[in-house]
Amino acid sequence: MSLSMVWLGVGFGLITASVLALSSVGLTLQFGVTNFVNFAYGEFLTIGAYLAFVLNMGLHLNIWVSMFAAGILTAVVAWLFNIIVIEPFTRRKAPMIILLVVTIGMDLFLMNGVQALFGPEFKQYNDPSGSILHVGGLLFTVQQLWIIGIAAAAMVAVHTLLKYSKLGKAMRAMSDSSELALISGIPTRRITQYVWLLSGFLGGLSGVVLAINVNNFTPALGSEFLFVIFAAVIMGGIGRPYGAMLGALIIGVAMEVSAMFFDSSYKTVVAFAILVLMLLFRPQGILPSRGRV
Amino acid sequence: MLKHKSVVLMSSTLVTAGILAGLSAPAASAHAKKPALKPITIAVASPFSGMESFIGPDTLNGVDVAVTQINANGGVLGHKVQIVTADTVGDPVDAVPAVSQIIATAHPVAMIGPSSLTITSVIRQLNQDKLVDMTIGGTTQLDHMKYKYIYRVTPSDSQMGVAMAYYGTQIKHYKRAALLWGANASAQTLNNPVESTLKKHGVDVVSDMSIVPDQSSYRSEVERILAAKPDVIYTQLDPQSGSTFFSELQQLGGGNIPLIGDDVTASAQFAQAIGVSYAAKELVSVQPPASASGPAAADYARYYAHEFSGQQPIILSNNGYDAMNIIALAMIEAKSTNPTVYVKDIKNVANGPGVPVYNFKQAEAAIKAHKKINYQGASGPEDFNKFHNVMGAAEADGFTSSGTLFKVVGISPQDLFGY
Repeated sequence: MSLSMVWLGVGFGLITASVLALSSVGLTLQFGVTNFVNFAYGEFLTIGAYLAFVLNMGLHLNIWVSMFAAGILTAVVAWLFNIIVIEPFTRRKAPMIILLVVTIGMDLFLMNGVQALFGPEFKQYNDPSGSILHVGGLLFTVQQLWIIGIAAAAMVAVHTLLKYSKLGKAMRAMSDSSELALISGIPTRRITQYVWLLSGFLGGLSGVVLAINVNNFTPALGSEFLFVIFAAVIMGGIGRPYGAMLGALIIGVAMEVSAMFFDSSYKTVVAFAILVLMLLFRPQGILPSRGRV
Repeated sequence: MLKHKSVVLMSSTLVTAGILAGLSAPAASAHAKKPALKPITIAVASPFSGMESFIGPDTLNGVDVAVTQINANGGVLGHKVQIVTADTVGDPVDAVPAVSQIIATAHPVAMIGPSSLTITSVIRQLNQDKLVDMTIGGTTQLDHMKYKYIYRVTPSDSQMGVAMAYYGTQIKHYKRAALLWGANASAQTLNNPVESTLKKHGVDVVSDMSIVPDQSSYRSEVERILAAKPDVIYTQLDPQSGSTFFSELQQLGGGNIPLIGDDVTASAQFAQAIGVSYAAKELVSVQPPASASGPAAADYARYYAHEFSGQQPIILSNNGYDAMNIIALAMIEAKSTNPTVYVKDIKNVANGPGVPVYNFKQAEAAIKAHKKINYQGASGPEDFNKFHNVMGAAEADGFTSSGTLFKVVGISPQDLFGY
């Protein structure tokens, strides 16, 4: 195996990592503030992908415009999801396990809803992939460079939001202790709603870039990707967006580089083997523990 | 502490999610058929969703054609035939409860399916339940089966694997081959017959790869195959994985490497997934003939066109049609709809010796005239060997630019014998 092949694998891993980073940061932000795992998150990806399909194929919008609009619409879906489904349980302080089961049920409901609306057939965007570009020994299509750029821009935006905005500070405060945040005058309900909007927006975006990446997609798009998202989130430390970014990078690159060395069947095994090692030796995640969000 | 709890809870919930997803899979749905007095129920268990979801509807089309003909001729021993379906999702986790549920609730007297993806997970149960089953699919795991109640109406992949290698070596003369399989039992069973036949005939197998389905990217795997510089890729992948893999193969400069697939890659769904124009340019699928020539195939094509507004029979539908006819004729021969009674007559009606019959009406009339029959199917002679498998011809099919399958070349059993 030549070094150039490994380097190529790193480049391919960057693309996977970009898709993974968008989705895992969306999931972990929501967890950091609400403190429960949303198993329906994969469906935000699916909904985003299908909304972009409607905009791209139905209204003939450019794929990147469709992606951005689909992200906004998915944010609204996530916000409604919280208002209609989640809040009635959180208001009654339902145990975490109840919320997990509710989100699993909603995952199935939403996936079947998308299938009922759009059918089980493959869908594809009107989005010519373009020619291959050679960048420092790596191979990318123009589309893939866009995906990497969008992910990088989103990560910078999330960082700026968390670090420098009032909303980000409030989110970080809630992540440490929502009771203390409430006592301090932070409107926790409103902040939670903003977080659902942000989580939905990132989920929608990542659904579209995932759909572009896999070429064709079905209603199972998001749920099939969910377990890899969890791997990145757990690796980074649940609730830590910077950790999720790093987790996405490690998982994405490890999967692609391993496929250069081993039988491809072990690709997912490699990702989960890294995860198990993390859980054994550093269960708090890869980044130093100083509060979440 | 909270984070530790979360991790544990999340991990256990991952398992719970899997279980719930399995339990919640659509198990069975009644297939609309006009009820008649004392109807008998035939279950069609097949993937109607999931990675090979085309198998169920395609098979069901053929079963429907047979049932229409049977009921139009008065049914089986006076019983109208009705169909119920069970969705195996192409996954053993879903197939086991789906099949159990359909047996418990619909009390079928025979089953058609499941496919190769799940048959081995339910085969013991079906045999123990003494339910006659006509499975559809080529898995080599059934090549030497010894189950009294289980029969297979499609040729084994070991035969199709040899046919794929035959096409690549004898007709196209490729010298360097890459093998690319999905990491599932169905695809894996093709590996040995293809690889051993290629090596036997001096072909250099430069890459042998299995890939996990439904990944977001296969670029590294594509690059490994390209580095091996094959003349041809032998493959069986599900449509979703095929879509991702072959779009990336084209992106990375391998779009002109010919592909030789099997019956899975011959589906319209697969062609749509990888792009019809690409499929038309590079893909040839070796599979049992979509329709055998001769009077049985002609009758079937006519019935099919009548049932489905003038359409041509689609892949796998002829297997469903033959399976249903053989079951019905065995019942008539045995004068019983009880599987423990009519099972002994399956070979009697399918293998002969007897007068060749080409459709249900003709066969029923012959039986009523106390003649021994030899059913000739729409997909071939349908003669079962001692392991309840059928042998048959193969054909290499390509796609037109509009996505229609056409025959490239036929491969006879004589071509494959000893190859």
